Amino acid sequence: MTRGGPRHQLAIVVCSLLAAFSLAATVSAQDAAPVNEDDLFGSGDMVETITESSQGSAVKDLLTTDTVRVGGSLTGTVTTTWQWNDPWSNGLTLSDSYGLTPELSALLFFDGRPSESTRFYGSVKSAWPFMAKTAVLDSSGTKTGDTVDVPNLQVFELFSDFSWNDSLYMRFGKQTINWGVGYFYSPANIMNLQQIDPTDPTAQLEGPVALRAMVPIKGTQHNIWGYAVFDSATMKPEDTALAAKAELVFGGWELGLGGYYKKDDPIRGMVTAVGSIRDISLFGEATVSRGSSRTWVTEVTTDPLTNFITTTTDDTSLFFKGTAGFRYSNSTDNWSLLAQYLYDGEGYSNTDREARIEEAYNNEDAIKATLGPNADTLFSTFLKGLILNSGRHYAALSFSKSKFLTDDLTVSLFAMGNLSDFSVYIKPSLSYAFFDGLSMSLSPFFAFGFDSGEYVVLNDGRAVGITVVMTLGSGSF
Amino acid sequence: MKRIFATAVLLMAATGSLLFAQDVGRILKELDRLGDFSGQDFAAVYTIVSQKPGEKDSVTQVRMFRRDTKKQFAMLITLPEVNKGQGYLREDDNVWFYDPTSRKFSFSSIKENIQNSEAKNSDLTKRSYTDDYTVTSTKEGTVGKIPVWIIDLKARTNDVSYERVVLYVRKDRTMLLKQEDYSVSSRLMRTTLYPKYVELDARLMPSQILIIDELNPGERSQLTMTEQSLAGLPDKVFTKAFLEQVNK
Amino acid sequence: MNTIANIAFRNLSRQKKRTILLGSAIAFGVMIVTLINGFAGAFSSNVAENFSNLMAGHIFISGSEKGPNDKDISVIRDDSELTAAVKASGAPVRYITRRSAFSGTLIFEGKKIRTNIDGAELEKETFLRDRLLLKAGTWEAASDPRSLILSEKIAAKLNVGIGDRILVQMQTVTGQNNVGEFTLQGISYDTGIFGQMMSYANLPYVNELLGLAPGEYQTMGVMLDGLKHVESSATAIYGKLSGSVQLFERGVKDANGVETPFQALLSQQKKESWVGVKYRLVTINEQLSQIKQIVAALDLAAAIILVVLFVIIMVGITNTFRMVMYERIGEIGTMRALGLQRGRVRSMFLYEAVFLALGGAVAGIVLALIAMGIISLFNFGMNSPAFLIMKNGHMSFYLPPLRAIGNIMIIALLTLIAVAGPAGKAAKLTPAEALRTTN
Repeated sequence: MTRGGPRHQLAIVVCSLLAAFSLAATVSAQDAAPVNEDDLFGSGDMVETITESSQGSAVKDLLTTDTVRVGGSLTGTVTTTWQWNDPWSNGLTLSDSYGLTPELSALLFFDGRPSESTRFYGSVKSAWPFMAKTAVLDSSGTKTGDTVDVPNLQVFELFSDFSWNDSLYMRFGKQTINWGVGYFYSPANIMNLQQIDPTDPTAQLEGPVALRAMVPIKGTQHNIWGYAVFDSATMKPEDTALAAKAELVFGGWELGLGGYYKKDDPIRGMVTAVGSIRDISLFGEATVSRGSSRTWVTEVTTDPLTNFITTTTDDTSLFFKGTAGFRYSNSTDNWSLLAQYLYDGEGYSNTDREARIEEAYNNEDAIKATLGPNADTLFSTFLKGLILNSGRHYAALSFSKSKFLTDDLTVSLFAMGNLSDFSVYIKPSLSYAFFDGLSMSLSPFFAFGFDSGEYVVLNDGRAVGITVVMTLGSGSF
Repeated sequence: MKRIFATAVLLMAATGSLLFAQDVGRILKELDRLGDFSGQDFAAVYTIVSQKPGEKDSVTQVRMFRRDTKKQFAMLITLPEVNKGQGYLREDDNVWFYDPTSRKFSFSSIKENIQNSEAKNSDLTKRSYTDDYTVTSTKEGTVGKIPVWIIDLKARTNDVSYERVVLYVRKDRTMLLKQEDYSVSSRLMRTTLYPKYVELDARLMPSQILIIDELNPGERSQLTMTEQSLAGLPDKVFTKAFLEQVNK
Repeated sequence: MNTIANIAFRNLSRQKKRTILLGSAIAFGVMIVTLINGFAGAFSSNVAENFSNLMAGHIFISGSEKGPNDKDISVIRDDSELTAAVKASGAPVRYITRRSAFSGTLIFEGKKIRTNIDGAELEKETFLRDRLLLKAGTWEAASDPRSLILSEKIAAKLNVGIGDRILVQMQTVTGQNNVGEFTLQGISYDTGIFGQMMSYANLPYVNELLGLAPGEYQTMGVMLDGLKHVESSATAIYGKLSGSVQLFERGVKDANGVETPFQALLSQQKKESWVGVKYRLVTINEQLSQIKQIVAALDLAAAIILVVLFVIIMVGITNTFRMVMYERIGEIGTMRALGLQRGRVRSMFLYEAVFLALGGAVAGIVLALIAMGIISLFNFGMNSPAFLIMKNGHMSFYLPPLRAIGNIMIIALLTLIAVAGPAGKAAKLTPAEALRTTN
């Protein structure tokens, strides 16, 4: 694209916009009146001499606003699920669990831009039920047994942006810090308080309170970031976490290099890469840490004082995690495929994992005896906690084809599996958009594997189920 | 005597048309020059209103920045409000897109994607009037009340998107007022009107363009360009930092 | 081991009612799956046959020339070498067709729809006239040089009738914008899901719109005597052409003459350069990518149905065998006390299950074959919209023997898995426990 004046650019802009962005403000409909050239070209004075829009003003409009912008999104869904926990032993008669879950959640944000180099942003999340019960603590911090209702409001992000001389950009506050490039799994996602949920990979992750400084390297698309992360309202200076990252662009590839240090925490290094080969885009991450913040269970006991487990940590060994994946989309036939593999060096080896699970089952009765009422549910939660993300090899895959048979029907498939214990969770689904504001999806799901398989335990058995989700009036404003 | 007279008339007519042919060539070159932005930064706001019969008008507004010397291009939406800040940064063959919902940058260097989104219209590869067309005829006429040259052009090669193009150029000052694009079968496909111009730093640019689809009556788009600037743009505009700053 | 097998067999015949019930469930599932597989098996060959009639050919030769800007232009300028090679190859040719085609937007009174228009020698292609039945309009009127024949679905969407003038917005072979004007002279019956693809016009006008000279065209279609000759004839013609013209490599295919989408993806990434016209030869099997998708979808649907049905049946089998185990706990105890090893006890149950599964599966396949035979006797006629998938108006089935055997093995395997649990538990009982339990 070397030459091409405003005329051509405008045509390009029209086409790209009309093709890419469908949401648009509407104006009252006008009748398509025939063009009257006499009116259009009446006066001889067609040319307006203008003065240069002052150099900054082109940019100023985007970066400053007179009013604070308030916006957000609202999501409403009603989900009905039927699940059979283990139809292989129990038969397919009555479902083990069936329920209706209406969900209503909203995110509200404010964005104030008083000047070009400063901005204030905050977002608050809420969900139904709008009140949550919190235990009341007395002055020494022990639970009194009473509970009180507090509004279910979560401050999700709250930060201010300020910059110096257009070369140093700072952000201070509670912010999402996205380091990784992985879609389902991201070992490089070190600083956020949440990990990616493979079943909802595009959701925004909650981040910590941190100070971030970014320096774009002039003349290139390379960038450098530095971070200082704060973890509590009262802390010591030496407990601040420090991190730095550089992103470099070479040809068609973007490489990232980063490191994270916190006193008494394992020191971490990470490398990321994004690029493409022909039409397939590739991404990969690798992290190495000296020591790990994870605690491993070495034995499952019957001692309620230690929560039934004895644990160990490791501060000296090197732990390695890596992930690689690809994404391909075909816009003529409207389908796309994404797959990713994760190696988690901090996971248990197969023998260890199976041993722990066997111990848990062996001690099941003894443990349940000390748990009081709801022993079954509590034990099941305990087991799930033990087994979640315990393996070393994982993979996830997502396939989706829109305009399948009709324009409003989409068929998709999601599968994730633990490759060390050969358990998988598969969820194909069919979604139909009736009109703007109403869509429905039907998805059966299956969990397969051996008895101690991760996804088998997490789903209370080799479950088979069906969910029907109606999405009602969800959107952004 | 008569013969000399006749020859003289013919000669005059010939030189007249020769002169005129040179004039037209110059006019076309000037039109091409007006569309050439290499060597300069350019920024503007485009408001696009597109109309389709039976549908509500849709309004979009974008702010565009370009620096052809470095093959840099940034485009950000300002309207509708919901999409404010979305857009992309492009440098050479690399594209960065920022998703304000998840706060993630996505990077792509896949050529086909870039070209598909930007050039559904082959205008992108249009080189110039002088390179692509030859003049078949010129006559005088008016557009509204303004006297114009009506220049009929025919494509030099068979890969130029419109085989025949008719330009209506103002006589007193080289400004394109109207352009008609014809198909190979000589059917009028599209009429583009340029009713308003702005002059900035002695450069003339259309500030309002009306594109009328002649095959689908009632379908048209109106593009208004405002806040044009030829001044050097701040370097930061073509950085990821800017994309992030501008989004919510 | 033989004794165990015998005991297992006799155990099955002891409880006739239960055996027959379970066996029938398995047979039913197998029958459904076999019917779907049989249908899918014949589907692709029926559609290919019907399609080759509509697309006028089993083998297609197209030409590619490098145009300005290194873009590929599809054109055959001089087909003398091609006709010579086809003749010399000895393939059983019924006739040869010459066609050009483009994809464009039809515009009529504010409505727009995209379609492919095939330009054919409508007067010469009698086979097309026999196959493409007209709901409205006549073939005689189609001799008008600017006539257009649309499928009823498209005609309905555009709300257009015989005699109406329709504009078409398209591009020439070199990418220039062009607009054509057609007169609707025929509306054809909808041929099912492919209705949108089939619009016809006269070759000379289509060539004019594409910017080709008279006498040039884009694709030569060779119609053979039958689908079975396709691959061998294609190889023969390709061989004859190799000497005289530039040729593209033929894609890598599997036994059905189908290139996997992945290979297609890789091959389209390769960029070559040449001078003049380079020819490409493809067979009908390769052309029908939509068919491949549907066959793949049908096979997938069959596999999913198989899994779902079998989940249900396996649950039944597992439960039944658990009951069996409880019922026969005394008997197991006795056998174990008499010295039968654990492994043998398990084997006995497994044998019972396998026999049951095999019996049910075979019964299911036999039932399916009978059903297929009966259904294929019905004549649905050539006018129904589904005629594309049928063979001369009759449903036909083809069950690949390997698939049938595969299904049986899957069922046997699934049954073994279903019974593994109860069989294992039965084997683990000690004789004392077993004998102590009374029911």
